[in-house]
This record gives sequence, C-alpha cells and structure tokens, in this order.
Amino acid sequence: MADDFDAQAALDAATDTRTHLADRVQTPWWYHPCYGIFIAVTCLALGLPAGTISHQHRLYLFLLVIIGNFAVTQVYRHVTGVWIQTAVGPRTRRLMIEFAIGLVLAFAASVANYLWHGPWWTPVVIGAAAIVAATLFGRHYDEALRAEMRAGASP
Amino acid sequence: MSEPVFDDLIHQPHRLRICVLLAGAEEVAFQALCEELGVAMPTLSKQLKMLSEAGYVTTRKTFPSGRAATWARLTTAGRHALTGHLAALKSLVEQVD
Repeated sequence: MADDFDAQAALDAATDTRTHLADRVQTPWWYHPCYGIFIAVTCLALGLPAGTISHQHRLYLFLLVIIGNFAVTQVYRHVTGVWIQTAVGPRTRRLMIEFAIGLVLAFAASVANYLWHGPWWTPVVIGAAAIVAATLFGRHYDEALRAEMRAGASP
Repeated sequence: MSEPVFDDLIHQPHRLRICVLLAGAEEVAFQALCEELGVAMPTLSKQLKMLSEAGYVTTRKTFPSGRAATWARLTTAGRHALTGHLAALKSLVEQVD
C-alpha cells in the first residue's frame, strides 16, 4: 500500500536527517579550550590575593570573560549554523550537572583563597586544571550530545 | 507517548525534514538548512513561510559582521505537531506489520 511505504520512507528520512544534524554539530577544536581559559581567568579574578591585583583589574578580567564568552559563542553559531544550549537527554543532563558542580567548586576554592589570604599560585593551579578539565569534559559532552541527537533526543 | 495525529502540512518531505532538523536544536541557520536539505534559498523560504503561517516555525534575523543571517526555530506547537505526525507514521507502519 502506498501509505505504508510512504510512512516508512518518511520515518527513514527523519532518522537520516537526525544523523546529519548530529554530524553537523562538530565543535571547533578551539571551543572547549577557550571556555577553559574563561573559567581560568574567572578563577584568577576571584582568587588572586589582595595586593597582587587591583579591584579595577579584577573588573577588567570579568569583562574580558563576558566579552570573550559572547564572541566565542557567536563564532560557534556562525561556523556550525546550529545552536544548542541545553542538554537534550539524560546523559547530557547528567554531564551538565557534573560540570556545574565542578564550576562551583573551582570558583568557591578561588574565593576561599582570596578571603583567607591564600597564596597567589592557588587560583593559577585551579585555572590550569580548569583548562584541562574543560577541554576533556567538553569533548566527552559532545560525543554524548551527538549520540543522543542521533537517537532523536531534542532540547 | 504523543497521540498519533497525521499532519498534512508536515508530511511534505522538505517540510518534514525541516521540522526534524529544527526539533533537534534550539535554532538552525537558514544557510545550514539549505545545505542539509540540498535546496536553494527560495525553495527553503517558501517552505518556512508555510510552516511559519501555521505557527510551527519562527524566524529571526541577526547581523553578525554587518551581514544578515536568518535563524529558524520550531515552536511548541510545531514540536507537538511533529511528534504527533511521527507517531502517526509509526502507527501506520505497525498496522501493516
């Protein structure tokens, strides 16, 4: 019957389309390291002890992160032509929560270093770890995202 | 599980693929839609206009680097219609099986 052949062909086309979209969402190599750098700069702005950096320069660092974040996002949108900001399935949701917890811990440790007059190198070490973690985590997240998109999950 | 509801508007092959693409993301660029569908911009514009008039799709323009870029998004009504339509297609296939 024409209807069932049309129906199956339409379903196959939908599956094929999802796969193509997932393949398109290939994050540029610089994207996650950039986010790691933004996290690192934020840790520095939050955690460098008083006297090592003025309040004005701390503010400049925060502005740099905000502007850089916006710029990187715009370039990503232009390069891929696709924008997905939220998790699309259970695996990406779990990973996002883990990332958020890591972010809170990094910032909290940096603020604690500032408040308790810790050494200058503490936020530097946290920031360096953040760059590595963001790069590795980002790639892991992308793999999960593409797998869930192929399976039909959506934001 | 959505209630199966066959949608004549979405059933057209290009429009079905447009809806599936938009359902997989928050926004998709016009140029990306053209590339994925393998159609020219006037054809895509016509399909998006029909979906937009039905309330299934919204579009907006941005101006990165001074040049206009159009982005399309599936509305809640569009997602609901697509989900119902895909459920109807699955139901049709299962009836034959």
